[in-house]
Amino acid sequence: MAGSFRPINDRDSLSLCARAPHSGATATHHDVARSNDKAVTDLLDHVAAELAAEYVRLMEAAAEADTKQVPSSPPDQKRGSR
Amino acid sequence: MVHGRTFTLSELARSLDAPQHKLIHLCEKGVIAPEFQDAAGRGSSRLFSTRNFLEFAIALRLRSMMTSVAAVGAILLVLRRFELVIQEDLPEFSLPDKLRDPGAPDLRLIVSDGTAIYFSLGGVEPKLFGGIPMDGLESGSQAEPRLVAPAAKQGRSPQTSRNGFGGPEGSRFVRLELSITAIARDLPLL
Repeated sequence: MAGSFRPINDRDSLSLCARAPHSGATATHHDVARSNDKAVTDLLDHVAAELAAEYVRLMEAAAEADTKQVPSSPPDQKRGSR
Repeated sequence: MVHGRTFTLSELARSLDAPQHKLIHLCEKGVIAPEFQDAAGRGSSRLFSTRNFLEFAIALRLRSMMTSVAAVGAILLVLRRFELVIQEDLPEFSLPDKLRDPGAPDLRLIVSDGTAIYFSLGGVEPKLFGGIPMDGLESGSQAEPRLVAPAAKQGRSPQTSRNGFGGPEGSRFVRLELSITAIARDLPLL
């Protein structure tokens, strides 16, 4: 098919992608983590949830550490700005 | 209506210095779905988000190391769910923006011995999450997916193992480590 050998332009690329979420995706998603397989999806969800919980904990710890440092810094900043 | 910054496929290909067909392949396989799917019909174009940008950057690096499409899809799925779970508490949280913050925890990905995927968080003594068994991700796999315990939980000491790489997961033969935080920070988003 001659069209297959055309240089890929933006429109071609995007129209190919456009098929993924609608028709082709259902079949091809089988290649991707067997998303139809509930056991795999549950496993990935479990990892994501644990990762998210730890991430939030680390962010909160960092924010708390920042808050504790704040009282000493404003006078220094004021001095520096003058 | 589209919210946030958007990118066309050609823009992403240019920014990531990758041929468009590689990005198309990832779309066709369902690994990456354009976040803004308002386009429909001939002549319309699909638009990608900054999160899609990060997903492509991660996927391309992993693919260049011969990581399977199925594994890349699983990794990106974890990241998507990770973002959604955090957004339940912190609605303003979004990828890759929050990973680009100077104080953001270092989020890494480890593929251990080509058999298990781990995520790690933290600096000096990172905490491990996973490991997702790679054989359970392939199409048609009948293997019951169960998390693979890292070396420390199996009673092995990764630091003292003669054959090990010293990583917390205890890889013995092959170790692929990728910093998702570093990739996010390196994205040319300005």
